[in-house]
Amino acid sequence: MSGEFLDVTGTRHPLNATPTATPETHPTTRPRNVLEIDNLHFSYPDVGDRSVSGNVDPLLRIQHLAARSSEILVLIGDNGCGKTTLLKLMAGLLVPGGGSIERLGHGRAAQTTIPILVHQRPYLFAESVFANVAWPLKIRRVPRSEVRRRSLAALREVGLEKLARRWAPSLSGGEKQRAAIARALVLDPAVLLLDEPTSNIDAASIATVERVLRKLAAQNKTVIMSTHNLASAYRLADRIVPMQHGRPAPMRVNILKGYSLDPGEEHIGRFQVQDGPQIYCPAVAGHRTTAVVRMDDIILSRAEVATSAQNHLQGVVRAVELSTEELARVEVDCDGCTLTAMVTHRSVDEFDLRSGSELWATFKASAVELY
Amino acid sequence: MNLSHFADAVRLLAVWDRELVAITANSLHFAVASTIIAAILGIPLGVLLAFREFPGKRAIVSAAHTLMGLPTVVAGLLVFSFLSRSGPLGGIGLMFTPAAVIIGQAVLALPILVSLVYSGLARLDPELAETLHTLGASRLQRTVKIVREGRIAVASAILTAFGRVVGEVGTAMMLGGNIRWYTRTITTAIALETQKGAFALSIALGVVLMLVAFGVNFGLNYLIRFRPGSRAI
Amino acid sequence: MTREIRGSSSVRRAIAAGFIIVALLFSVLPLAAAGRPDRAQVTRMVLATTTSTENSGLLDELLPPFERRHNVVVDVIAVGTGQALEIGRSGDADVLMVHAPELERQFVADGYGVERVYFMYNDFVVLGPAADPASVGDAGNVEDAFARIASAQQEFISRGDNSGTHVKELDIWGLAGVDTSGAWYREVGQGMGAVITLTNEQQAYTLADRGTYLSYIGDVDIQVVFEGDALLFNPYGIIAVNPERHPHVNVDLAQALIDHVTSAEGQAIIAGYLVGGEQLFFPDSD
Repeated sequence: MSGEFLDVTGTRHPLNATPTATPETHPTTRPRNVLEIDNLHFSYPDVGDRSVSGNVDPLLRIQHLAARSSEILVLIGDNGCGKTTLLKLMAGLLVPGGGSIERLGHGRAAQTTIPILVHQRPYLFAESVFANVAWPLKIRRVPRSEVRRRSLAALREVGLEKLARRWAPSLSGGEKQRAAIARALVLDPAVLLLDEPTSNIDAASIATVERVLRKLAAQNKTVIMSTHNLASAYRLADRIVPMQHGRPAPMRVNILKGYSLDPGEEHIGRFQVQDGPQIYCPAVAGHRTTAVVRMDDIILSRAEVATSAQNHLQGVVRAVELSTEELARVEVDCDGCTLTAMVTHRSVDEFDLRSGSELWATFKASAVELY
Repeated sequence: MNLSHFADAVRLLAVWDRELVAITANSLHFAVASTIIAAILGIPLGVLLAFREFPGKRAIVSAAHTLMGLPTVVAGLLVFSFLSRSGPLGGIGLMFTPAAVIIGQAVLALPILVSLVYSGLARLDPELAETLHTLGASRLQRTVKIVREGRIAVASAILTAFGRVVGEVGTAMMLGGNIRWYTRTITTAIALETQKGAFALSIALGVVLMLVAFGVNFGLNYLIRFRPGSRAI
Repeated sequence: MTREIRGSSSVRRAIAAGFIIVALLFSVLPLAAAGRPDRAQVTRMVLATTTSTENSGLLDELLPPFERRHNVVVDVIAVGTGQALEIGRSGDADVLMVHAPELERQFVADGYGVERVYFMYNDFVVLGPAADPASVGDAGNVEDAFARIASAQQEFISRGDNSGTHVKELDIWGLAGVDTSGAWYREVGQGMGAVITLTNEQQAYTLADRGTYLSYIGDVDIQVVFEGDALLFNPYGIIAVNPERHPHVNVDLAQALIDHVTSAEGQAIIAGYLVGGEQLFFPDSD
């Protein structure tokens, strides 16, 4: 990556004594930033009594947040944590009180550099589903035959081609969500923003929406979405940004992409991390693509220790970040799989943890959750 | 006044009396033209009030609400004081012409349109405006789409305004002068014919007025309740 | 929301297009002009007069020969006497035809009119129930007739609108020396037609111009219970609005109209105008 570490926390930290050689530099394939937020703050004009305090704590304050191409960035957090407000700021629907949101267009994507937002309960126009999807093209004076072709393609993408002639307001919640996504897709946006796209909709629609979003990321697009639904977030996210009181909070879990192996009659399951090791996990039937391990559950040691825990991975420290007063985040590369563990500052000193240190990461199979 | 007048009224309607036709045409001409003028001014203003914040907005909204009930003779007097030869616009010589009636009726219709369009559109989903923004619509495209989405509210505002002006007598009488073949409308004619004891023509005109109101309502209702299929497929 | 109607899109579009076309047609074409020669070709002048004059129908006989001769359209504004004079004062009419001599003289004296020309008269009549409970028919003169209504405490409906008729009525009460503050005296503030209808419903008495009453014969059963007193004569004047005050008025046409109504031809039309076989107006130009 770059010379900075963990922008999800909202603060930039130089990597501790990173070795100069970082071999994975292939500029052509490397994901690049398409959206960069710096020193952003925002307050709703009617919130708080300015005459009393004069300097209201802003609803939203973000020092730095960047979204890259071909990634799915998921904002999670409680109601009122600022997810929706942040999405609207990125979409240009709200004007920041200060700071900058830079939208970086590249090549063909430059034509739609402003991200398109799909609302939680999308507003569909009182006309046919097709007319809804075609409208963004029609107002851009796209030739009629092309409008038809692109609209039908977008509808096929979300599995609504059979409902093209339906009266849009009569669709179910899930169908409305899919139609609204198709209405954004016709414009081929470089960045698609979605507010709770998978809440309050049927299971079939959830699967369709998730498939469409994954496909977008695979096509080098950026998807930024908010959700309450942790399972959906873990399944989809390349990166999760937890939001708390309008600020991005540090991530507390490791998300490992890969696939589960059929446990058969075994009491314990196994999960193959993509380009990485196999790890032990609870035996769960069905195909799972995501393993989640809480950072607190990972024990670091200089030597392999004999414990009841099933997972013992040998690795090399890539970075150490003194993120809070008490705890440090230690990023360990274990055979192609990057795990982050939370340890106290004392432990960092005691074990002399630094980039390049070799150590063992240990965690129980039951600490792994599959999604 | 007795029942034989009804028989005479039916006869006038049946033979489609020339003066009856002329008076009806005048009424429609004035009411339609004034409603169109008021709609051209009032609908964009209603959209503006519903979707934008600006200083003085609340004052405009409450003024529009209040003026909905503006007595017709007050509107007539107001326009009279401008258009009269002694008034600021007297030089144009519009008093006692169709143009004067149309202006007066547009003054009556405008607050109705602004007020009803505003309150109808303000009830639309607030996410509509954001959706139009995020899909990259221009200001004109957004306005047109909002009116289309709120078409039931807009159409009933137009209908209400039309109903008010086609049935009003105050401004038509004061500004048009009830001149035969020229500015005489259904309502001023009813006022005059009743005065003369010509009840049959009054009844016939009243019937025409109700038919007009019913026909316009029915037609517009059909249009706005209609669910179009997609014609591009 | 209401039930939606389904149907073919093309039908709907055709109806919508039809609506718009009809609306645009109505908004730009003054269709009523079909009833009379193209107004754009002719000069226009405005005659402000009283409702009762217009209602009598006389103007429909008196004006057309003048309009043809001078290729002009006379637009008749029929309002109350006070408002007619006001329209003249503000310069919105070219000529006035009213019947309130005092107010007319004042109008000319104030410089708003050129000259008041007296050209005809009609008369007022006292209307009342056929049974005539106040015995008005036996009165010697109109003051006596009014005094009988008052002393019999019979209901009397007054126009109460400061019209020529109202002014005349007040004159008569004054000459009769009767106090009209009793409950029997009702001021209704309405036009002549409405007052006749009301008087009929109440079976009361009222003072009316003969022309309006004649148009109500058959619809009402109140009758003329007193007529013919010199005091009941109702002189009509015609006044050109003064071009020195309002330079835009067409004083030549106004003068031509005055000449027309006082000419032998005009006076003959007035004398020959009958309603229900009765002569309504009496030519009297000096």
